[in-house]
Amino acid sequence: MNEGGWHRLNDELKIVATVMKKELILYFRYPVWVLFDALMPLLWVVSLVIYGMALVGSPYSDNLARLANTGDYVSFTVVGMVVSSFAYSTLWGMSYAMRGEQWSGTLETTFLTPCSRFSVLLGKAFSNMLTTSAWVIIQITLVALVFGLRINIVNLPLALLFFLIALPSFIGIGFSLAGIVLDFKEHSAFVNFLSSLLGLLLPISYPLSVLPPILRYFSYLLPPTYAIEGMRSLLIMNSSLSELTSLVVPLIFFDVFWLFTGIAIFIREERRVLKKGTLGYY
Amino acid sequence: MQDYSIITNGIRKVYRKGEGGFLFRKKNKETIIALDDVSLSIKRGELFGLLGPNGAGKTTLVKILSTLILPDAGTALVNGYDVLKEPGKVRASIGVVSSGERSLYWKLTARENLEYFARLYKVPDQVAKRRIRELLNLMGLEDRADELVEKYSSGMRQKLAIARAMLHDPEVLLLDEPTLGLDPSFSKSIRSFIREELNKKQGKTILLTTHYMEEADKMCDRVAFITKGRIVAVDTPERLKNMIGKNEVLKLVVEELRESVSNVVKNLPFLDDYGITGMEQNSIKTIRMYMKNVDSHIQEIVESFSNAGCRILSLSVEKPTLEDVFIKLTGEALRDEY
Ligand SMILES: Nc1ncnc2c1ncn2[C@@H]1O[C@H](COP(=O)(O)OP(=O)(O)O)[C@@H](O)[C@H]1O
Ligand SMILES: [Mg+2]
Repeated sequence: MNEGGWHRLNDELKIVATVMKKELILYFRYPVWVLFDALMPLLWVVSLVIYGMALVGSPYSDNLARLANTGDYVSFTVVGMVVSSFAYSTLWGMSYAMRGEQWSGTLETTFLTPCSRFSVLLGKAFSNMLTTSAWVIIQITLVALVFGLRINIVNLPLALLFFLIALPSFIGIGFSLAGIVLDFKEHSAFVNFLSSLLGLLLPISYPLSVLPPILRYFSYLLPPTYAIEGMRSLLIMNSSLSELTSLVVPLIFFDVFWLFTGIAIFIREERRVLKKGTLGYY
Repeated sequence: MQDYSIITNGIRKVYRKGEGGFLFRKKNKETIIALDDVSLSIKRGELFGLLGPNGAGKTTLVKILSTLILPDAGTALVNGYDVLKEPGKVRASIGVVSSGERSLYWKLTARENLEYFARLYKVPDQVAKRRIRELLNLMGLEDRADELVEKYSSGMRQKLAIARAMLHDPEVLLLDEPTLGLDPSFSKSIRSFIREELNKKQGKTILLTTHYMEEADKMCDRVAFITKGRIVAVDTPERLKNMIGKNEVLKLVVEELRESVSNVVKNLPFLDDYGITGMEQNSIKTIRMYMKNVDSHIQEIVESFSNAGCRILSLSVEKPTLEDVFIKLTGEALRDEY
């Protein structure tokens, strides 16, 4: 890259940081959102854990141990929940924020500036991940105190690295959704549908082996599946290297595929709304 | 050499009504021609007014020039850059203000808003700091710079929107009905700020759209009339008003009871021209009659209307305005008056 190129990249990275900062300031100026974000996932994970324990009779399930590499139902579910909330925060964080700007009327003002739209989207995604992290840490601590968690802390850096490998594919899907929402002017119906679907297909509180084979094929088309399985392997199962490799390889494929697809869809949808003249409409 | 800051050539924009969303595309093929072959050249340093009624296509043109809408045909250069080929450079050259108050973050303070957008415009931090201070001062907002924008009045928000548009010191300002919905005294101060400070002192090229003829008349170097997507005249306000000649205007508001008012005016031989406006379903009409020596004809005019069974609601003698020229050229009023 030439000097001008580095300069521009540096400018765009600053814009990512600026958008992140602005999103965080706004986030904490709407206390209801903060409360909602803090409580909802906690209620969700606690009810799943309690439900599981009620069925099994203890935090340890022989059946789960036969299906997965662990019988520790609580840790199994908590890791699934944590990884999926991170995935969700990038998957629809960007389109959600885009919708918000359409509502508030600031989307056109933002698009009037000469910065890259993708920098703005990334800033939104990263600020979302940051707030998600804060709540996740609180949730994990609470669950660990109440129910006990057996997590392989030594592998935490590796698990984070694994998540980073999965991240570009989430971002690519996020770009696609943001583009579609730009034109479609509807977000919650979309997300309600998608999150119910993913709730079924992703191995959040059960291993994939319990799903009917035909659904399992769909699960394996979803990048978050690999992220959950990989991080779970690292954090609670001590899986072998070859098992991890078999998860990393498809993820890298998805990264490339979704980044390109996401950028292409966003650009196409942006052109469509600029043609229709409905960019700022809500 | 760059004599023109904005040049448009044969710009056309057609909206397809009811074009559906993402999944369900409606089959409705009804179209609206928002802009039809619009060609304009705006000189560097000029304050250029685009005057036309609601729905004339003003906002569409401003949005095409600001890269927020893609035209169907034609080309547009802003500050020498093509809006289709170099949208980034166009964006860096323009400051845009529209009439809505929704272009800012209400949950951020004025200063936070300006700092945020300065970054998005890639203004270096040191420059931005100085510029934000200057702009807040200039707009008289420095005392309340650290208050949330939601606490601001509409007028203050509009001032802040102007400050936001000036952050990167753009060559060209596009102002889309910047005084719409503001109270009269505030509008006046914004108008003189635009003319004196932004245009004369800072030398910005300004395209201002409006449907207030006083605004176009008092502020602008040149004015273009636009209606139904077409430009019907471009000239200085003085020369446009000369189209009415040395005439005076008698403005009459009547309630049409029996006979149609157009029959009455047709039978007044001394009129050079006239224009009738008012809603079709409403019996109240405004008639503007252009003639020499108004005084000597008032009596006869009043009698003609009374005899035709019209109730006269008001009568006044005025100097010709841009609105008169507009009506003469288009047969349309800028606003529906009563
Ligand atoms: N996005 C859009 N889709 C369909 N029709 C539109 C759209 N934007 C504007 N129009 C129509 O195009 C015409 C011109 O609108 P506009 O440019 O907003 O005029 P003005 O700003 O002079 O009031 C109007 O008839 C308006 O209803
Ligand atoms: Mg308009």
